Amino acid sequence: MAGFHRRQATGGWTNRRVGPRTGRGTWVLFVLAGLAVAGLLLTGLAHNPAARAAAGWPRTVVDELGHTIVLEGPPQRIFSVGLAMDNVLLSITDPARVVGVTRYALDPAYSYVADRVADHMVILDELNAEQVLAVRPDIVLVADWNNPDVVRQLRELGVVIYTFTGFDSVHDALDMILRIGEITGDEEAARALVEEFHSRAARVAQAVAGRARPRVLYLDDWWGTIGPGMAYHDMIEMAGGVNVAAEAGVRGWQAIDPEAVLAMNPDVIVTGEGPAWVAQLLSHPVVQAVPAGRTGRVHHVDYMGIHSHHYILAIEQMARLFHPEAFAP
Amino acid sequence: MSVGRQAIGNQVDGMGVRVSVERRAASIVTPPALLAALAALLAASVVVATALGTVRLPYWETARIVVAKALGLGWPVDATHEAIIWSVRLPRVLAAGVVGLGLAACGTAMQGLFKNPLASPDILGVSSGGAVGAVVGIFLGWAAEHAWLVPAAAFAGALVTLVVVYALSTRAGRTDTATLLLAGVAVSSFAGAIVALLYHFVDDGVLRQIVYWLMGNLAGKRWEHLAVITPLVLGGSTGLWLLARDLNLLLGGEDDARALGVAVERTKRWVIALTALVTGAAVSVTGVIGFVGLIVPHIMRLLVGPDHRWLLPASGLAGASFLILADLVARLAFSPVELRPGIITAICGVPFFLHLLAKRREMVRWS
Amino acid sequence: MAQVVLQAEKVGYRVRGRPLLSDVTLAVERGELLGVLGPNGAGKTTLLRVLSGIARPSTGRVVLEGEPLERLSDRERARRVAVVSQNPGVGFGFTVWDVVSMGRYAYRRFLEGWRPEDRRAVESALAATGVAHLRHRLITELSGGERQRVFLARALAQEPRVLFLDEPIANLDVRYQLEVLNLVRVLRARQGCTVVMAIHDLNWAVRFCDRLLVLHQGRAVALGPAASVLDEALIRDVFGVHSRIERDGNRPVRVEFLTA
Repeated sequence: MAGFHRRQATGGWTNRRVGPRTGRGTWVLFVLAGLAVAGLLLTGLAHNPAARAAAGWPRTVVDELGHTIVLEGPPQRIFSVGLAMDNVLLSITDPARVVGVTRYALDPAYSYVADRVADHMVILDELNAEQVLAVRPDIVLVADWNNPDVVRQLRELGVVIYTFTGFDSVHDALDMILRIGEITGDEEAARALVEEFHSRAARVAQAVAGRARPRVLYLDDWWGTIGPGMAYHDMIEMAGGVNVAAEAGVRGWQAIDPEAVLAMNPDVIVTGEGPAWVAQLLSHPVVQAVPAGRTGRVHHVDYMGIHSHHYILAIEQMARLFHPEAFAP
Repeated sequence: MSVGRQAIGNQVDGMGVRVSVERRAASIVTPPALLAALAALLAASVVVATALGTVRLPYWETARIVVAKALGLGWPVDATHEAIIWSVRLPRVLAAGVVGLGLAACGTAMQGLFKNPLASPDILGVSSGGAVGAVVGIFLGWAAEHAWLVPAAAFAGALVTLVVVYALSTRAGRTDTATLLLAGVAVSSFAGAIVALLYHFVDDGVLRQIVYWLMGNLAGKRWEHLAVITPLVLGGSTGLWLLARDLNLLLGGEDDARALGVAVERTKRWVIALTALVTGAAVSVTGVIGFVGLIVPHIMRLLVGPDHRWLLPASGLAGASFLILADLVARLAFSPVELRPGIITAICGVPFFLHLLAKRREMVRWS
Repeated sequence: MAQVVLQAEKVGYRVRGRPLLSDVTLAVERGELLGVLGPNGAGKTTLLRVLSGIARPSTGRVVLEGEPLERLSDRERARRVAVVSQNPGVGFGFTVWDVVSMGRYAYRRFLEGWRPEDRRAVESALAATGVAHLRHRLITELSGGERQRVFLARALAQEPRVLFLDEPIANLDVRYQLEVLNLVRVLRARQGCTVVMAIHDLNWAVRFCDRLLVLHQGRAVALGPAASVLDEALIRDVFGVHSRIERDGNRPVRVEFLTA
């Protein structure tokens, strides 16, 4: 994490005996001196606007493209141009400080924070220079896949832009939470989210420790699967399974030939798509020929595929699917 | 001789026979009047498209900002509004105009050269080649770096494609137009296959950038983009206009043109090169926007006739207005959702063309 | 002694290995009306294209007024030679005036405007072909005969020394056929240009042409006045029909085709 300096307010007395019996006059001097010092410190503090909020401002942050941004104080007008960022932002920051989000944030089918989208927020379909400029944001959170021409245009017009590039793995999601915390000054809330994720993940790990790990295959409705570096890979492993696609050499996201499923021979198949896709898979001859199809262990993970701390929901669900006996009530 | 024509006067012809001078039906608008009307339309389009947008700004303020900035006056204006009008909207509107002009002019030239009503600037495969160049550039991660790497890659792709297509259809200095057409189609398909192949090797983010580019995109265009493409497009289009008489003569067939003194092969080379230059420049900055180069020349031909001396400037002006207004509709129709301008050009262009076609069938007989 | 204005020396023309013309040598005399005869596929159009410079011969060369044709630029050549092809394609909405003015292309420099001599040439061509009253009409609205005259006017506007006509009356009604041929003869006399005309109707050829060139399978088999060239044997060999030629003295007047 980028370093920043914390100025700790030091004050208070040290209880220290000052030589043999100090006279009353000396005590009075000490008291007066202490008051004076305290008074000076307090006035100094009062005149320092940066210390009005939490300590640590102005601060320097570096985005995922390496751009350095200096923030004078906690941004009060934050614009988010990406669903993942919307989710994190609205989870840890006061909505009054958020001036814009994407329309997916409003959609309960995509967003865990739909109820926190307020009327004053601008709803974007895609990155639109006019709308962003019009609300005069302090900082704009963009993804590296937003239109680079428009991003450049805004940057040249003096808008502060923070670019996120990591949207693939669980680690990316947790890192994003901490970064957004650093940007907004809500580090406590950010850390709390991450810690909750870790503690719940630890509980899952404990529950599935030592048990035989089932062979798991992730399949979406493009017949695509994932390898190391992608969130589902991490989640399968954390839920106590083994990602057979990784074994087979898949890296990133790849569409596979249905016949490759036979070679991978999974015990369980998981998907993020709905029950309709599950039914299609169960009726596919290739799936019926592998243990997952024979035992009916083709499941859809009922959590929205958002890149955020909500990954824990998927992990917990999958742990239950892989090791039902560990979670028996 | 014929019934129902108005005789204005008498004249003695070379055969010693008195005949009456017949006047043609005055149902076609005179070319100079049409050009003036189109120029006015263009000016109006620029004004309207700059005044309207996703963010509502009062008209007087827009006018004030434009005047102040253009004349260098130091009037106090709201910085954000100035940024929106002068740095975001105006360059975008002007870019749409320049690209529309170029695509329409090239479409006119291509239709004349190939004597084919389906010809458009993409017919030489130039747009597809540009697409491949751009996709490769995006794939290599150039989009995030310098603003010019991807457009330059697109332009390079366009020119390489042109060279390939030209080489395939030229033997001993003679370019066969039928082969040129087929080579262009073949190369376009090939380029499309390459792009589709690249889809498999890219991740989601890059895929999105590629799709942006391929669907035609006017967002984010700045004065720097304009500074480069305007001379290329205007210069190339003017070059095509200078070849207007040659194009007229070529309409009658290559042999007839040659008999009249046209250096046919040289003219073809120039037309192809200028088209590639203009299309490449346009496509490199805005991606592929279809229909402008196909529909606008047809519509103009029905209004002003086939004479390229009038047709080329008319198409250029009309194409500029068309794309500006199409982009305006794309921006506003479902605000704040922004549509691709290509969708609007398709929806508008086709029905209008069908309507005109039904009315003026005698003008469009292709030999 | 007749002056030679155009010469072909051992001219051959091949397309993908197939010879369309072989070893054609001829000299065209100034001011004459030369008819090129032969059945379809004999090479009439090809010969006209090569002689007029539109196509380059594969072997041999063509000399115009002492200069090799290939040395002339396209513009130079268009000032001296004009062609009216068999099916001139201008199916578009050009007016008669526009079409005829195209004939002045070779005389106008790149960005030059109309000069008085250009206007004069066009007016003269329109008048000579009798289509001046049609100048504002669209060419697509005209009858076949009128259209043919307009293309003739375009060629005349080039003020050529040699005029090539490829089957000028092939698609015309009989009345127009006579009209156009008379016009050609008159023009030849008035403008003083040489005319080389491909024609497949023997009777018209006999009636209007000074000399005849007979082509058979790409070769020149006869060249000279009708009297010395045309006989029943030649017609049988070249055209594959039996005929009977009516003569007035030595000069053929009418060719009658016989069945079997």
